[in-house]
Amino acid sequence: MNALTIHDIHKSFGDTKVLKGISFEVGLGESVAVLGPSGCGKSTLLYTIAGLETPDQGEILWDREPLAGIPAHRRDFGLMFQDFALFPHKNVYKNIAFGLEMGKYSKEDISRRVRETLELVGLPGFENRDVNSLSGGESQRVALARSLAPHPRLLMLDEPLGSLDRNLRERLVFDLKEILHKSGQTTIYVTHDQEEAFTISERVVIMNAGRLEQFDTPQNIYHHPTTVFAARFLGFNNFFQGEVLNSAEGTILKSLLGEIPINARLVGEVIVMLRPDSVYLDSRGSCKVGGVVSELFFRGGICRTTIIVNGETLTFEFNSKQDIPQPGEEVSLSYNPLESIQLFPKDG
Amino acid sequence: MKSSSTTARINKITLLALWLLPLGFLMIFYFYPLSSILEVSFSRAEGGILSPFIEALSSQRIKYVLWFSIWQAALSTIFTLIIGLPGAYLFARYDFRGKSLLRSLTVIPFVLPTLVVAAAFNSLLGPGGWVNLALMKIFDFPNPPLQFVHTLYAILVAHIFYNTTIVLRMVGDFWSHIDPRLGQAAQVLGANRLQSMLRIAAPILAPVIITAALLVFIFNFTSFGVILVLGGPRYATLEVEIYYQTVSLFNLPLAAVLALLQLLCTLGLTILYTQLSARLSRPLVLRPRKYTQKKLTTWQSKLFTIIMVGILTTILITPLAALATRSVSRLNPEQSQLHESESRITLEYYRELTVNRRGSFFYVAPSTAIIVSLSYAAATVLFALLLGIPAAWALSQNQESKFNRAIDPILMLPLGTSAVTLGLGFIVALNQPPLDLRASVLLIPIAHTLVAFPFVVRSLAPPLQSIRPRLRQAAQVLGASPGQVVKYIDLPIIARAILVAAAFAFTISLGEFGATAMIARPEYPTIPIMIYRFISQPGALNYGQALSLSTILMLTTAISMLAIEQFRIADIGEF
Repeated sequence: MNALTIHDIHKSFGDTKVLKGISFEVGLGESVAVLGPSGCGKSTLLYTIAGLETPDQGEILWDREPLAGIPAHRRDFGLMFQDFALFPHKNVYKNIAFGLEMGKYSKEDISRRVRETLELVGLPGFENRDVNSLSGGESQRVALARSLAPHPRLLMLDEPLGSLDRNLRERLVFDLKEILHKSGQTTIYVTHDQEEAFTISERVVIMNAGRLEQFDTPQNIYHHPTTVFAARFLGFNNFFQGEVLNSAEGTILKSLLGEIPINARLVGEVIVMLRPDSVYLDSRGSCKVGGVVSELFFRGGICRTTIIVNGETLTFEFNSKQDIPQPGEEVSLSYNPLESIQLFPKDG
Repeated sequence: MKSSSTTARINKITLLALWLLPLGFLMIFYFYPLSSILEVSFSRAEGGILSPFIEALSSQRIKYVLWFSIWQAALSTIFTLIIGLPGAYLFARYDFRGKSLLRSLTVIPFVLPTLVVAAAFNSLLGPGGWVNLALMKIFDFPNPPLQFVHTLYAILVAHIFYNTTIVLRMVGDFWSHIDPRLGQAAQVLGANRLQSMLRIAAPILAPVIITAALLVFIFNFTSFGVILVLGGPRYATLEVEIYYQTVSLFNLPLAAVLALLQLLCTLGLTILYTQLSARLSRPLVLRPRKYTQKKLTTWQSKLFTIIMVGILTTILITPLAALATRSVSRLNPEQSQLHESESRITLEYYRELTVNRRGSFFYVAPSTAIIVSLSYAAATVLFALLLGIPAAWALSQNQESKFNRAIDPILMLPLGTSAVTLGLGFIVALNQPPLDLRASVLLIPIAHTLVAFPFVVRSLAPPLQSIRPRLRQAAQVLGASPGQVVKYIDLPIIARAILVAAAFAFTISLGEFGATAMIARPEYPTIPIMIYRFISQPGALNYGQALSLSTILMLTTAISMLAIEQFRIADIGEF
């Protein structure tokens, strides 16, 4: 059952078109991540859903009821801001209680709920602390507690871990996932960090310059990105041109890898991606290609290797436990087209 | 490598040296004259030292004067807030065409001499002013119908005219940096606009609003020229009464008591003000203007902007325009009609400035007054910067020290002290070598420097305080000596602030009236004194000359301030 439906949202600021027809939906209790680079419109999307901005075109529906005309303070949605936006003149208790006070809860209920939420986010006893004295991690949790406390129907988080250091971020993303899951909260999580998005959510929206590139589970996106942008955003490279031709033996792909048999739904000129993680240094794959090693980057478990193949520099990730030829040496690679080759239409 | 304690000691010595000049100046030219005049006044008292106090406390008039000072200041402050707060919101939250011009123009009233302001309102609302002339023409009245000058309304309006810009700038600047996300967070949590304003914006703004109101109150409380010229004989604040007691009644003991009283009141207010403004530097998430200001999109915001711009323009700009236009118009209220045959635009009042119509021995060409004023102003700028820069620099070191917090209100004291009393103090105290300055041309610039000094310090201290120590450390590590650090790091950053401070000192000197009235030599009057002479004599020619001289002064001030506005570091500094 879909709780939130976004349909064909367009939004411009002056002459700049920020959202160009976004559509997706979020199920009740589901966590959806919106993943994209800075400036792609993710925050604007959140503000539009929250009611802080009005879309020029399109509809937002909750439980199939349109939200147009309902102002932000009556939508019962929660929004956690990128820099937390804690009220500096109120302490932790008053910050968290604010939404409850607006909702006209009784004093005892407010007190109980604030205590509950503080425990939920792992900050018991923080009621009287001054928000200006909190550390980054503590501020994040108070901001989360504040947006969770009034039981919003939908919780939106705008890059909540953006201003924290890496270690803290990695620790908190798991805590966050557990908290959201435990409370069965319907969530939209906006980030530019692919790992965060994949950890937290059940489905991911990939956004680019106001457009939706792909909307699917993390696994599907990772294994089958549908656009070049999505693939690049996930960190893949090795893109080059190719041509799909019909021949007597079936469809073949013609590219710098030579001529390979391929199952393709596209015909004609295409963009080819050779996945960096599915190429072997031995001969177990059905197709072979050779090259010269250019550079090695040791990254712990993985060794990132750039190899020049037929004039093109390609990057691969090999398990570092095996023997990898040194720069300047020749190398033979093999791969299976089914798992290693992905085709995109010529314009991405 | 010097040990840290040696470095600390050296810094203390530098600090002491820095304070030597400004504090020495205050000692010699503020505390000494003040105590002299108090001593002289009380020693003249018949019936012992307590008798003037008793006289003051039992006098109905004095009680009235004190009460009047307080309530007119409070009323003026309230009205200034009523106009200034929506204006501050306008400047804080919206971005529209002509905004920076309007903002620059609003600072001009603040630095205008009180005589010019009086003349400006006279030319708009006085018996010979535009409004009355228009009403007489339209409705065929024989006499000017609108009585504005010498009423309470004149005082209130003039005070609003003067001080609105304080609210616009202090509150507006602060407001413009408040993260709009706070309001949005409140909205999402269920607060409508009113609740958001009352529970989020108001508490955050309260300190700066109170601080601005306090400053406005201090200026209103010590008001002199406005009350004297626009209020007329019926109204008197403490300062006016001091002038009256000193100059007309020669009742020095009573004048001294009143000066003391005024000093105590303003000292209390000033201490309060410095305490509050120190608290303003609370950690707050401040956003740059690019994110906090929006263009006008809704019809409500457009309507609000039009109304506010209209109100601000009417109150702040119209009187100035009235002054300029009136000074070139030949209109005679007695004759009550405009002569169609004569040209209405005339420069005769300007030309008259150069003519000694009655062959008076005491005639001073206005060009002399202009040169005199400009020279005094230049000297004031020099002195004020020489004193203000070390003081501001010293204040910016170790900002939390008790010494700094105690020194702050002391530096502001001259602002709240009776200028008339100070002027008299100069005459009484500085009459023996090596300080026999009574005949010196330096006397007036020194007096002006006393008044300008607090403004200079308050303009320079915040930018200096904002230089992060990291910058200085980085320079030192890269090999810069302390002198080079000052030259290459500190000075460029405060260069603009110095320009702003210099402009303040310049315009304050040009317009100073209270102290100058006491100590100026008759053959070397300043422009405000000349204006006062013209405006207190009857006749259309005198009136016209007062207006033309005022217009010259207004234009000089306006041009200086507008030019300086280009250089001002926005967001920094209190004014």
